Amino acid sequence: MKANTDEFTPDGHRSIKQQIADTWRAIKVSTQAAAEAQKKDPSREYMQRPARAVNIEGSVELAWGIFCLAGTLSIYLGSLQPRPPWVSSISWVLLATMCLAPLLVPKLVKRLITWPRSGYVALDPKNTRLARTMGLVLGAVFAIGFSILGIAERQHSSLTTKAIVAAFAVVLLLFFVFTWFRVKKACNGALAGQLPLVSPTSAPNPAEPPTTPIPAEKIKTHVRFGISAMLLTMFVVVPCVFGGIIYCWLHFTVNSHVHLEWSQSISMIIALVCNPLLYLMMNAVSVKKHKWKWFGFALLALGPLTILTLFPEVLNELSKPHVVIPNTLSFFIAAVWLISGTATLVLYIIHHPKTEVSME
Amino acid sequence: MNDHLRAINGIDRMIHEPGRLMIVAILSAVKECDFLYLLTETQLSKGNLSSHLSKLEDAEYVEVEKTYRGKVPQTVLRLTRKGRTAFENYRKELNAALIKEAVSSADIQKKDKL
Repeated sequence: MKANTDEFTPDGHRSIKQQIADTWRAIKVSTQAAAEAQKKDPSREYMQRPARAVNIEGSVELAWGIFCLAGTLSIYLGSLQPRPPWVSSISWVLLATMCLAPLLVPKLVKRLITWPRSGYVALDPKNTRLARTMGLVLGAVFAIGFSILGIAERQHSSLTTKAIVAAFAVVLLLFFVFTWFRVKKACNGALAGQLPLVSPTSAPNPAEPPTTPIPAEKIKTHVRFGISAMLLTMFVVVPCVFGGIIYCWLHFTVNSHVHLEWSQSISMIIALVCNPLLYLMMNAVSVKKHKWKWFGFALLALGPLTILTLFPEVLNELSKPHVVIPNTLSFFIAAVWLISGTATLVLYIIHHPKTEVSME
Repeated sequence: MNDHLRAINGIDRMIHEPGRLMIVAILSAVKECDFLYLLTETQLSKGNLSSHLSKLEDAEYVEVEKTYRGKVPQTVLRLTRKGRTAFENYRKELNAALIKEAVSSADIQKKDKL
């Protein structure tokens, strides 16, 4: 009986502890049931198939490889001393290539190679709107942040660190608020409108006193908060922790006498953390078919760190003007992307002969 | 009648057929695609796919547009608004039935343990 009295406050309401336990049980059963139903849903697998078309022939990898190569070449030529007279005109070409490659290369490859072989498909822009918006926002935040950082570093401003910390906190807060407003649909989908089925009134224990069901909206709010916090952890906290580890490793292990500017440290961390993650994201579907892509992932994840450990003098390249990531590392990353993209493209062409079919 | 059977009694038969479900599910995830893409993804025969598409076109679930890409004929297919709504309703009904089944089997397992 003691357990039962603990469940209620003196005025007869359920205690907060009990309410949390009930909510947790409701969420657990709901999500388990929804997951079970999703497994049995025959249309789910078919709906995921078109996403494979995005990088089926390695066009996105090629585009990113060209982007990285053009950027690296531009910085490398800019850092040459004395600067040859033809560098400025070539730099413009490289800059244009860098900007246009992610847009034009996939379109060109698809039009000339993919569509005649496995057919034309245009993905629904509504499905990628969130990813595009987030990419734009993150890109803008980094671009503005780097500009401020660069100016502050040149002026040797002591305010920089405080400003960066404050800006970072604001970005985190904005990200959380943005997620909070965007996860409403995901929250409804996760619970699939089945909350009344799993409210505490359906508790199978007959000894338990009758209770009032938890309002569905309350559970949804808890789930929404949980999903927002999870996304924040995944996309911000985890990269920051990995970034911190790499930063410490760069500073204290590899080459402690090289002075790294904040902009250089952040750029290197982004390059070292984001490239393997991006590679994994792009190949999430095809990696089951092309097992060798795990080797590409390992190269991107461990290659730059191995180069820095074996040849710490590579960091000396950072003393040249405009260099934020050592050119050797940038060339290596670009080469891995280009080789992986080319191999995927060649394999795709071999396994998909050209066909001309139309509806009868 | 069994509760689970009653739940799926009103399900849309036009979509429920496995071949057509495959076609509608793929079309629901894209803006548009051509006949060759559907043929590759569904692994159906040309005649079979054509016949399913004709039925879906008659039900006004799918829009078929015959064009040319250069000199090559191309059949572009897209789901109509009616088709999209029908597929959304189909998934809602099927999910509700599947979740009911999952929850009731979880309850049965709990009772067994007690």
